[in-house]
Amino acid sequence: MKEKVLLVDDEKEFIETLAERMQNRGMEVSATTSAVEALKMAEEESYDAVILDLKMPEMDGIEVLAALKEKNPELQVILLTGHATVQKGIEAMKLGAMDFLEKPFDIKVLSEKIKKAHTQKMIIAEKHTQEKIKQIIQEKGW
Amino acid sequence: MENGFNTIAEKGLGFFGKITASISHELKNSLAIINEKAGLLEDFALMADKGIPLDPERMELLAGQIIKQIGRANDIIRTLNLFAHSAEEPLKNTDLVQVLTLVIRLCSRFADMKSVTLAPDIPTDPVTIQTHPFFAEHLICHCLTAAMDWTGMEKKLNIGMEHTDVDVRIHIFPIDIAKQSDKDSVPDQETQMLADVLHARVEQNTVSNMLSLVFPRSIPSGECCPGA
Repeated sequence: MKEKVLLVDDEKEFIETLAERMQNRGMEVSATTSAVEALKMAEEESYDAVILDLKMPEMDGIEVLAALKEKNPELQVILLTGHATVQKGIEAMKLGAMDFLEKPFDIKVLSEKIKKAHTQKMIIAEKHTQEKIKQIIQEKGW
Repeated sequence: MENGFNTIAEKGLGFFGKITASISHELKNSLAIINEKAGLLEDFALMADKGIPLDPERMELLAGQIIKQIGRANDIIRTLNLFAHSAEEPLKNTDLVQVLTLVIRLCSRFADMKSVTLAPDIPTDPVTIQTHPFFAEHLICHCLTAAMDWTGMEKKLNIGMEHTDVDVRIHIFPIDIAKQSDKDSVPDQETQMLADVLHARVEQNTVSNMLSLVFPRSIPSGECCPGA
């Protein structure tokens, strides 16, 4: 099953090229340079991971992260930062980011993190299914 | 005055940090693009090994894009270098057009972050005044970034310059003065201290919705800046 990823960064050339490289690695990628558009896309589609730049016009990456998590607390978000510091990492994690990466990065590292997000999403989905089955069994009294 | 200089030196260090941090982010963005473009070339080479033919036009396009990004990164470093050297310059005859051009470049990322367009219409010929370049950059940048929060619906700031034999005026407009709060109005303490050190004035015109920085052509000897 293909990993479904949303890329959000105001550098058009960056996301276009990264999207192509990720597609070459078998992922299904959507990309946008607009934070507002990203929120709309995340509402309409289900993604395994959102790769989000921390510094963007319109809305700061942290604001976008908070808005994404408010709508879907289980969404896996990987933050991209210019300078990754421990402090920034802690801040991102506290706000619900799954992980963070410093630009420029190795695509192998990003791919690993996306795979982890995909697995995480599948575990959550399985847990939800099990809870649903349990609920049905209880209701039907089987 | 000594206390004022200490505060200005401290604020100046903060300004230097803010600008260099912003520049390093911009540089990182450029490096990230180069990294992905080079990575894509590597992907194509690996695909060619598996029998997928290379597209020479695509290769040429990618190489051109990498060269463009190297030019962008070089321009960023050149700007950083100019800015860094200005901090070691004493009170001297300074081209205010060059200073303003540098400040607009340094502030362009802040403007982008706030979706504000900077529209400079400034002289091409040098306009020389006697001043301290770094403090002048700090004052202009401080006022320009503050004005970014006071734009109207159009989110655009025009930047102009006028000069006489006595002074040089930098105008930033239109600004919506009603948007200023007690906290972020200009001249604040930082602006006033910088203006005092440079013998400059910061004026707001409520009729023309203009923020103006007035620099004297010269500063009385021995009255500006530590070490001057």
